[in-house]
Amino acid sequence: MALPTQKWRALAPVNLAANTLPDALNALHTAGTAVTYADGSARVPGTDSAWTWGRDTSSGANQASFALPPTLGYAPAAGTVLGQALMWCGSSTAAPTGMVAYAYPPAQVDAKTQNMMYCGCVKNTTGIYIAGAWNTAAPFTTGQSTGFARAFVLPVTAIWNRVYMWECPEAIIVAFAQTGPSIATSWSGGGAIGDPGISGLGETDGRIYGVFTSGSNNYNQSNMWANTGDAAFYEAGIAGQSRFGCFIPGSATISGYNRFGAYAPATTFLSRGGEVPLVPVYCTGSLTASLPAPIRLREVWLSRDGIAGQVLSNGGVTLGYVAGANALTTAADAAVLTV
Amino acid sequence: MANPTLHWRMLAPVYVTNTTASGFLDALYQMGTATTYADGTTRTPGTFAAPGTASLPASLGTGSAWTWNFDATTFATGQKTAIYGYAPTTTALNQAVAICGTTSTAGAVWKQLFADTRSGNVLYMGTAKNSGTYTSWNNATTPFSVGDFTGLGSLSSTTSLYSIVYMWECEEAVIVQVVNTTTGNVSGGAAGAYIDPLSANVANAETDGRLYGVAVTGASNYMGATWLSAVSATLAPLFYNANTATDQHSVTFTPGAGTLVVSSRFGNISPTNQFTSRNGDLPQIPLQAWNLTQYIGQFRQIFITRDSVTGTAWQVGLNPKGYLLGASPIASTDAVLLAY
Repeated sequence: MALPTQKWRALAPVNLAANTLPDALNALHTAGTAVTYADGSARVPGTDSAWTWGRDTSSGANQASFALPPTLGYAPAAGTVLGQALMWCGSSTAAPTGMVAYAYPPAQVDAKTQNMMYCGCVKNTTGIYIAGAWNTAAPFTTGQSTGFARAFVLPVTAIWNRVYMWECPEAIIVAFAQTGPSIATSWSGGGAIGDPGISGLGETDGRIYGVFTSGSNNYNQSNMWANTGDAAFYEAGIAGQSRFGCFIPGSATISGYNRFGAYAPATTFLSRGGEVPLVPVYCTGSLTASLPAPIRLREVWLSRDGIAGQVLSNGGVTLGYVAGANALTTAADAAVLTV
Repeated sequence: MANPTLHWRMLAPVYVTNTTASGFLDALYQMGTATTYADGTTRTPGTFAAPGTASLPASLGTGSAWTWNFDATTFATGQKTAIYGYAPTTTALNQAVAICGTTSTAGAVWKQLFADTRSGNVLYMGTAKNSGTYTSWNNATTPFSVGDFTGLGSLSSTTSLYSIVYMWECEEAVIVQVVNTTTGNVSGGAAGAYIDPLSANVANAETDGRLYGVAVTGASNYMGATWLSAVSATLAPLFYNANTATDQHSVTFTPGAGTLVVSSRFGNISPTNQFTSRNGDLPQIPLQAWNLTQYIGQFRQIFITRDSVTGTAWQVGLNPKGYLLGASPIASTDAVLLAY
C-alpha cells in the first residue's frame, strides 16, 4: 500500500542573531515555533505539517533544538506510525562527550567537536526529552538513534546568517545559508523520508526513517544531483562528508543510502511547454547485509535548478517549494518539495 | 494526465539460420504472427486480407498483440525486405512501425534516420505517425504513403553477426533485439509510443497525449554492459542519442510536427546485480527522458532494475511480473524491466 502523500510547507526563513552554534540552534527553534508559514498562512504546531519544537537551554546557551511530528489534522494520528524525533544539537563550550556520533561504515565516525552542529533521527520514541540528554546515549527516554551527524560547515569558516526550513507531516529539511559573499548552504534533516514502495518492506508502519546531512567538510555542492561526496541525500561513507543513513526496518542498525543515478539538470530543465518537471528521487542502501532496498524520497523531486526559498506556483496556486543548493542570486541543483 | 498503463509481453525467441536480413525478417514475421507468447499464453494478432500485399490490416490484434504484414516486393530480391506492424491500440495518430533490410541496396533512397548509411544486410527500424497505407519502404519520405516518418535507423550491424532474435510488445510499442548467443553481443531498437510526456500541453504531447519515436543501438557497436550510464557510442546505449550516422539514436516526433527531437535517457544510472528490494523483488525505478536540456517524459512501464541477462523473465510464484532487457544473453548487465 502506498504511503500517504506528504504535503510540504515552507517556514519563514529566520536570520541568525549571530554566526554561532547557539544562535543557529535558536534560529531553528524560532522557525519551528512560528505560527505562520512563509506565505502568511496559519501554522499550528502539532497539526497537519507543523512539527512541535523544543530546545535545551539547561546549561545556559541553547544546546539542542528538537522536533516532534504533528499528530492532528492530515498528519498520521499518534500510535498509527512509529514515534519519531529529529534533533539538532551541539555545544559552543566543549566537544560533546556522551552524544552518539553518526558512524557509517562503523569505522567512519563523525568527529565530535566544539561549535559543531549535529543532526540525528530517533525512532520508536515517546518524545520525552530530559534536560541535558542530548549529550547522552539516549537523548529521549525511549527509542533508537541514527547517531548524530555533522550538520554544517563550522561557523566562522561559514558565515551563517539565515536558516531555511521545510516541513511535512513526517520529515523536515533544513538549509543553513549564507547571504554573502558565499551563497553556499549546508543541509540536514530526516524523518520518515523514505518510501520503500511496498509497505511490507518498511518499518511496521511501512516507512523508512533516517537522517541526512551535507556534512561539515564542504557545503552542499551546487551539483548535488550528481555529486558523490558533499551532497544532500548521499552517504559518502567518510567522516565529515555528506551522510544519509536510514534504519534497517525493525532494527537499530543503519544502512548508508545513496542517491540512485547522477543527474545534471540546469535552469533550462523544463518541459517544452514550460512546465517544471518533477522527477522522483530514488536512493539505494549500501549495507550489503540489508540489500540495496531502494526508497523513493517522499515528495522530494528532482527538478530544474533553483534557489533556496523560491516558490513554485501556477496561476497563483502554490505547487511546491524550492530547496536549492544555493541561497540567493545563482540557481543551482534544487529539489522541489510539493504541497 | 498519464498515458494508459502498458502491458509488455515477450514473444517466443526464434533462432535464425539464414542470417541475412531476410532471414531475420522471416523470423520477426513468424514471431509477429504467432498465436502464443513465449510463456505459452494465447496471443491474438489481427489479420491482413492478403499477407504480402500492401494494405491496411483487416483487423487489429487484441491485448498487447501487434498485427504484422511483410513486403517481399521492394528491391525485388525475391525475399522479405520489410515487415510493418500496427499496434492493437490505435489513436487518431495512426502509428505504424517498419523493420527493414535487404541484401541488395541498388537504387536505395529510403529515408534515413540521422543519415544512417544504407547498407545491405543491416536491419533498420522506423516509426510513422499519421500514417496511411504501406506502399514501399524504399521511399524518401515514408513507407506509409502519407504522414510523418522518423526515418530508418540501424538496429543492427551486419545480420550475419547475430543468431537469435527477441521481441517484446505492448499495446503501443515494440522492442526488438538481435543477439549472438555465442559472443553475447546484442543490438536492437524500440519503436512506438513508449514515452509518456506526463502532460497534455500541446508543446509536450501529441493530440492523443502520447509521444511517438524510435530508438536504435546503431550499426557501429554492440550494447555495452553499462549502457544505462553510458553516453559513448562505443557502448551503443539504447535510449541515448548520438547524432552521428550509424551510431545509436533515440528520438521522438515534435508534437504536432514531423520534425524529431532527441529523447535520451535522463541521468546516468549504475545498478548492479545485487540491486534488489529487501524481500528480493526486482526494483522498478522509472526511467526518464530529456533532450539534454528539456524534460521529454517518462518511459512507459520500462523500469530500471537490477543487472540481468537479456531475454529472461521475472515472476513471483506463478505470477509474471515482467521481462528483462539487457546487453547480453550470457552475462548480467545493466537492464530494464518491461513490466507485465
